[in-house]
Amino acid sequence: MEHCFSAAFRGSHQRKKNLPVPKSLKRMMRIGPWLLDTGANLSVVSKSFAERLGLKFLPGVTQTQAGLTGIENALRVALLPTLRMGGATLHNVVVLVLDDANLNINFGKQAYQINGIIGYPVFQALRTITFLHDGEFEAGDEARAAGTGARMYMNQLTPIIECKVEGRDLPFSFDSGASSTDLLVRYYQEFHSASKGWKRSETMSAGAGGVVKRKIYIQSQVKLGIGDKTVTLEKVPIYTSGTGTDTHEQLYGNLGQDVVADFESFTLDFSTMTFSLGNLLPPDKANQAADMAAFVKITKAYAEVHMNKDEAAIDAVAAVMADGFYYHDRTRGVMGSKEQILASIKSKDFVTESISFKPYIVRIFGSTAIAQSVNRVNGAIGGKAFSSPFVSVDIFTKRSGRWIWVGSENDKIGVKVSDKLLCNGAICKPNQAAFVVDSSTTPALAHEAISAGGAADRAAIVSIAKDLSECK
Amino acid sequence: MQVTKDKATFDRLSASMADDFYFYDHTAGTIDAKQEILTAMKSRLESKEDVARSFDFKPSMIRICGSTGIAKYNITVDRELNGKAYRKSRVIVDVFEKRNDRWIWIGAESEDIGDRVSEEVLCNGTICTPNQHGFVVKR
Repeated sequence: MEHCFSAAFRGSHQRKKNLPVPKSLKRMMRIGPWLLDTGANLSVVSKSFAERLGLKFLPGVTQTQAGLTGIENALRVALLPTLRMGGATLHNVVVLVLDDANLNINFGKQAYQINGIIGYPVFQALRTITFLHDGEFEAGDEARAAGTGARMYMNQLTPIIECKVEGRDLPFSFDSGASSTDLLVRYYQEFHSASKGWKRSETMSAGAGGVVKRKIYIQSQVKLGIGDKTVTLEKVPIYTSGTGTDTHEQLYGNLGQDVVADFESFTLDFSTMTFSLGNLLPPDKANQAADMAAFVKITKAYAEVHMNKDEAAIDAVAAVMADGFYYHDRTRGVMGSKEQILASIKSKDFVTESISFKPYIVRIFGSTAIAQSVNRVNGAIGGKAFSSPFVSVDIFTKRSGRWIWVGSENDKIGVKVSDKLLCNGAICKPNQAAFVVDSSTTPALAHEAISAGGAADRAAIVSIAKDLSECK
Repeated sequence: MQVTKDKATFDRLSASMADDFYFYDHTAGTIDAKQEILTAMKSRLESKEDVARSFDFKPSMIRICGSTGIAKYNITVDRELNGKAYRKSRVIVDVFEKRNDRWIWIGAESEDIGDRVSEEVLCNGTICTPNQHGFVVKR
């Protein structure tokens, strides 16, 4: 049995928490996405995925206990006879087979199902693996040559990278699944005395035990030397207390995606034990990546405040909404303003249990962006449970280099669209007069009557709509 | 009586559309690119069987947020297809962007009033390929 990745020694990778769907893997393997995790000690597949692969278990079963629940889980081992990754062929790859539930990962408020993980032994066997900005990877001898790398070593099964900070080589862990870099207690202790310009702040951490506030500092700019490259990070949080894990005590920080975001690639070379960054991305690509990250952040923050109803988090969401923001539920024919939406989020009658987004589309047009998504909301209104799928269209505009959310259109899937518009206030007051386009009527464009500014802009837009109707 | 099918108007409309313009029909569950829309319009321009009688625009809202413009309106179209008259009311949202002091039409979202919104999106090509990953946020 062979499982081919792709030709030319390339594939696609998933980052742990962001989960890009590796299309080329899906296409070439026809068996579903894998997660590439340099921190995994062995390759792992879920039971259902193993069945789809047709894997035969090796004799013997052991039991593991799963965390706090103490539930015992059967742990089996299987051999993948041949694993081909482009030009490389690996034989007898050992995989652990776990029940699907054990690979249902829940990072507090975010969850997803993992089918398969390619772990550290495979990477070590391949010797070199390069992750490309476009979501693909190269492995083995054909992995792209990167610049001079930083020293890398393993702390148990976590890659540790030595970064130069203020002329000193300091150890950092690297988690490509983390969206941003955190500086840890050891950094705080060592640099606190020279901490000019650090600003006090606090951060929220949510988990099964509830929401915990932690005091942190923010360093406006941190320069990290990684091999022959220098990465400049902005507004980096510094934690003043640990989380109780031994690993954190030894490390100065955890490097996140922001470290690699502006580079064409990054390479983990297990033969030379180095970590290196590729060339800098062209500015337009780097900007686009930053823009996409901004939208994802806004979307997730908006989803999260429905759950935690935290005042500070709601204020943060409000800060990215335009004053003239509107929300339109086209199924119910209800339109609301920014204030009304924020009030509904805060309402105790509106309880949200979960919001799930399918893979979605963000289109960026210069200084305007439109996100189209299909999402499902589970919750209760006034004690009455609901589970509804929506099509959402969210519109953003860029002001002073910052994306501002200006509107949201929403339809409940499978339900008739309303011709009504129930709304109070100026948010839903038409500012354009009705008009008819036919062969005998000159459209009456009433923008002259609009008291607010921007009449010329509105007239131009109406003119385009008129052209459209005349064309049909 | 027939609404004009003037080529100059067609060209002007085409010029006002961004190259990466898209049209998302929520009822049909389709996403079309600029060329697909223009081809469909041209086909109607040349058709004698498909005749638009009138477009009735209800009072509408246009929001200008910096260089982004959003036009929201309901429209009722009276059309004659193969000699058979029919009427359709739609909710439309058009999004515009100001580029070099000129408004460019970048996208349109539309659905039929009284019809159900589709979950599926029938589309080929990159215009409808998701570029963001799904996620779940739980309490």
